[in-house]
Amino acid sequence: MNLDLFLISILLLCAIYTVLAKSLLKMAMGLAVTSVILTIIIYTMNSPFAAVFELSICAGLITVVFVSVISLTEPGSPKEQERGESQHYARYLPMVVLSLIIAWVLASSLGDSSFPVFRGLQRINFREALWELRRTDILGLLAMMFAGIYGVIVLFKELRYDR
Amino acid sequence: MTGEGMFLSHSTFWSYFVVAMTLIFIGLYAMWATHNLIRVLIGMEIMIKGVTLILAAAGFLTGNTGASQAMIIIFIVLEVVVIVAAAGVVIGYFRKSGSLDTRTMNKLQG
Repeated sequence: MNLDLFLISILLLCAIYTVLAKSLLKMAMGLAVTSVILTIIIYTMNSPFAAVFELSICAGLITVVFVSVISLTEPGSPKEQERGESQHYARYLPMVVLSLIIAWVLASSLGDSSFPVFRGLQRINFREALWELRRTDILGLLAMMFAGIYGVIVLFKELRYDR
Repeated sequence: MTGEGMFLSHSTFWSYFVVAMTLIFIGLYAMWATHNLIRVLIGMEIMIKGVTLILAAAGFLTGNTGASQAMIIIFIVLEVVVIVAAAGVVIGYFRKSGSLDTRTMNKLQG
């Protein structure tokens, strides 16, 4: 088994564990581990900048956000957050079987077919791609970030019935 | 652009493609099967991991990692904005109703 196949197998197992975990905190930790494995895969694909973003934001910031949300909402449903939903495994075990079937069907139908590769956009370095080719996207991202910040400020402000 | 294409026979792209599609299915199932808002968000995150994997694999195998990294970074920032805004919605809804159950969300008013 080569390294790529080993890493993507671990990635798949971590994702399945994340969904199957009963406790929400374990789900958040499983998601962080999934992000770390994905970071290693992206780094081995010669994409170090994307790997750093994935590690710092997805494995770091988003985990902090999830843990904060779980701790802020814990008083309302402590039993469900610890023990999972009713008939937890009966609800999620079909997912494991179906996902394995989907993986097997896709692998058996696509394994021998060739993959088209086009050279139209080759040899664009990261700086050109981000600041020139994707300039409009950067402006859109800034607008999205301001909208997100405004939304969070509105949603997190003290409500009348909180007092 | 199509005239300059070449084909990778027995490509490793399909293994990444299969895992990415499986991750997307796992996330979709997790969103569909649960009634907990936080589990819905985590299912969405797993779907996003699948899309990120397929973007990175496509960039690597076409030798175009510059464009793929730019796309992944933009995607990750968008993901963070969506998750943070959704977390705000979850907390706001929890403050109002005291529950995280999606089945009670149709009772929202104003």
